[in-house]
Amino acid sequence: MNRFLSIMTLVAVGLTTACADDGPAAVCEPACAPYGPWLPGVGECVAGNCTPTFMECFENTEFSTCQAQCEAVGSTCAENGCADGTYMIHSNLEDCTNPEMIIGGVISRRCDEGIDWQVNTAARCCCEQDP
Amino acid sequence: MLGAALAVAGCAPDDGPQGEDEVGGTGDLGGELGPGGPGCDENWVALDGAAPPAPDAELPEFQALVAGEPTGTLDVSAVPAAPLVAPPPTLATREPMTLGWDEFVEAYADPWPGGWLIDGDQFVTSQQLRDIYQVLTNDQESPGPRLLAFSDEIFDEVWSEPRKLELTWCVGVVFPQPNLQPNNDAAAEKHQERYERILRGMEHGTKAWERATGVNFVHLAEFDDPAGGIGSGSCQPGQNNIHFRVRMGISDECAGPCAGVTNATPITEFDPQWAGPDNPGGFERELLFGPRALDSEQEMQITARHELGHVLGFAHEHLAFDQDVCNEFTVWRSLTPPDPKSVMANDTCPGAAKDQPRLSGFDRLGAFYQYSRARRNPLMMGGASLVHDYAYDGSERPGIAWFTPLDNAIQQWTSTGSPGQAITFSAVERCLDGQPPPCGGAVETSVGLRPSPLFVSGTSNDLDLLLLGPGTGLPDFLVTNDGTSYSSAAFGGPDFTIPVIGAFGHEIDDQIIVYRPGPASDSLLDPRSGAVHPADYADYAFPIPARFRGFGGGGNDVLWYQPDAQTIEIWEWGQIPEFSFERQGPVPGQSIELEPDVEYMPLIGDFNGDDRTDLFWYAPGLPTDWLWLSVSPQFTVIFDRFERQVMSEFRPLIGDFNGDGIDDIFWYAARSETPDALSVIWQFDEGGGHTPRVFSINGDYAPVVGDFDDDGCSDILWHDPADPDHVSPLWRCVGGDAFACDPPVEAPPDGFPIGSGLYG
Repeated sequence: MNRFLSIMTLVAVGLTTACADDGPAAVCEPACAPYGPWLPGVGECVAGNCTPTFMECFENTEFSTCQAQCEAVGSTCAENGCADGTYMIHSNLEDCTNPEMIIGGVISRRCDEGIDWQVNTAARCCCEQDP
Repeated sequence: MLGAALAVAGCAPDDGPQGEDEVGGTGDLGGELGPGGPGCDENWVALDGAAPPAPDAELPEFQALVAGEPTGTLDVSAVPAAPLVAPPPTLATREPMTLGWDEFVEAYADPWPGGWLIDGDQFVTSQQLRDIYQVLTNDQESPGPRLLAFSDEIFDEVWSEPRKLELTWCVGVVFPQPNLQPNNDAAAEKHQERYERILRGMEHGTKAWERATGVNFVHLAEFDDPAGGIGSGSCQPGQNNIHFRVRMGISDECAGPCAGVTNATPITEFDPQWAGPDNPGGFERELLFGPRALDSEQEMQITARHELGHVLGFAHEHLAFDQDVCNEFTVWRSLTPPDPKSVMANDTCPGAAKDQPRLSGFDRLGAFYQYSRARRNPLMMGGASLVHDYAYDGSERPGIAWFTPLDNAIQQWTSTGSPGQAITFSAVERCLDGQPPPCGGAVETSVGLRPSPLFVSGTSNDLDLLLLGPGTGLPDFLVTNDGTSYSSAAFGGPDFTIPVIGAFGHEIDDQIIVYRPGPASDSLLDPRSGAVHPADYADYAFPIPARFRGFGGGGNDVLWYQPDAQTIEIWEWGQIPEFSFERQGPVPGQSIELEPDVEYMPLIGDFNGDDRTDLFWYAPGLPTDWLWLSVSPQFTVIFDRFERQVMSEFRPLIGDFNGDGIDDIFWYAARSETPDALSVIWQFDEGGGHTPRVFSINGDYAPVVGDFDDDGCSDILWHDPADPDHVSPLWRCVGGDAFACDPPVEAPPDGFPIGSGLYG
């Protein structure tokens, strides 16, 4: 799980490139950052490209839209691009970064729409992996 | 209703269910189902459309709680606590009054039938006035039993559980009277205008307080006699089951600045000096309106709400906040923070909000604390226990526990019919003290108890009862039920608590959050172990247990809705350690689109059938209503929110009224209260959309919802507390798309169906 999070961080700072899709074998070089078996298809290598994935956790005091958050990490927001959601909401930052609580609420919104925090304080946005 | 009474006469004894009596008919329904079939009368018309029990658990710790073993008493008072209720500031700092009794009366009180008026229209009995005087003068001589909610004493002045469902009223004399001025069209018009204004004021005022409390005001319109005499008209308090009379004040009774006054307060309920069938000459309970209210729609709407607040036992709120004009003295226990927006504050007093014909958020909250009762929510827990209703006899059959405090007993009903057959109940009487009938005990104690169903021993098929007596003057009991007998134990804890009942641990049995609104510390009590855990909520709010995360996320969540600031906070209960939880919020209302100063009723149910509790924020009238469908995963509470619009004033009932596994909302409106009102069921679907089914329902009932015939579809017992024969119609859901009117049942006299009420 820690390796997974590290990969996500690398993605966030733009150190990866497009992957190669070798058909059924699906070997991508360099690797995409799949979100994990809990959300199949998210962040995986498809047709030679890494699909969008949920990026790093942030708090409600940092960003109010996924458009802003994805741009801040050098990427582009993928509207409803991750399991039909634009962001994943978590109760708080501690839960969001807890590997045992990796799945939050997947929410469908426009990228420029304010994140609907309700009682929650942390989220991950769905951003493109390709630079 | 005559037909209903006849139908029941053959199937239930005249003196109510005794022993293993059968309640309800055998109902040969033939081929005619639905409204109009056998057992129906003209009361309503449909306008369209029509697992194994939880395992027994060993409870060694809890067994220590049986009566006679005081060391087993559950005691949560050891939790460090601030004072239960802060005394009003004026009382805490005041100097002792030095006036003599006669001077005190001369200065502060005016005689009124049955007692006195202080502070304008605040009614107190002579005993209460004596008690107030002794508090204000610091007289150390014992005044004897105190009779109202002073800042530090004894018990709250509220109507008993049975009476609160039967607050019957009619309209008496209204001037000018056309029969006294037969050729005066203007007088006749004025008379009618004032009468209709009273009806509008009472209709909206009673509905507003009903939504906040679950009490049931019943307008006995057949006794309205605005053209009759005070002593000779048909609207006579204490007769014909009329509890109080509404009329115009005559001469100096209520004139000039007086808009209204009432002496129909809860303190009078069991006082034999007041008018009743056996004492027609006793003091009459009345609510009087003066011309100031009778000739102004706005004044009427404000005054009706204000006076009805007094009827429910609430004191003047302007005494609670800082101002030096109206602040004579105060001795009342505060339910909420000082509230200038309260309808119970005279708006002529500095700081009070002006001209607001509505209940404030804290008005509704304080009323909720006093009259609504905590309960396990069986619909919410059904996904785990397979019992979607209250069950008491150890079988999975749903039932109704009728609290009959005048008999120191519970009348325990269990449904006996099979799916497709008419609903019948078996009945057995159980004594509150656990002894076999005939039941003994102090009635004056029992009538003050507040009952809640919960699951703390045995299985969810033999629910137990929490009986709280608020205040130092009343005991608290936990009555455990093994399906065949009760065992009553003392329940020690702080006074004036608001219990929050839910399954907050790993299992589906219940715990109790012992909530003391405001800064006083709170705790969670696990009755099985007797352990107490910290669980502090420091604000004043509606506590709403729910399963927003379904059954995968640990225990129930609790949503705390603070109606003044319109904030919400959610407690998400975790797995490890047990009874641990995360606080989320509070978040301001504007961030979740709850409008300031709008009345919301947070209704809970599973409105899309995904086993996660959803919320419907019902805002009566023009404001937008909101449907919040939970899309919460295991560790986070989050909702998809959808706008809805419910324009009218309804009493909402939650149940699965078509048996599809998805909860619905029955928006109930009585045509006897609002002649053009229709009721409607919103049948929700998996997407949260709904299909309406419209009904016309005449009577003013206190409905009890349950799947009494065990077919997966909610039935409705239209409890009619005001019916002289205690006969209640019964709707049985048939085939998911219609109701059959089964033979009505005879409810116990002066009985209260435990677990029903607000949001039920």
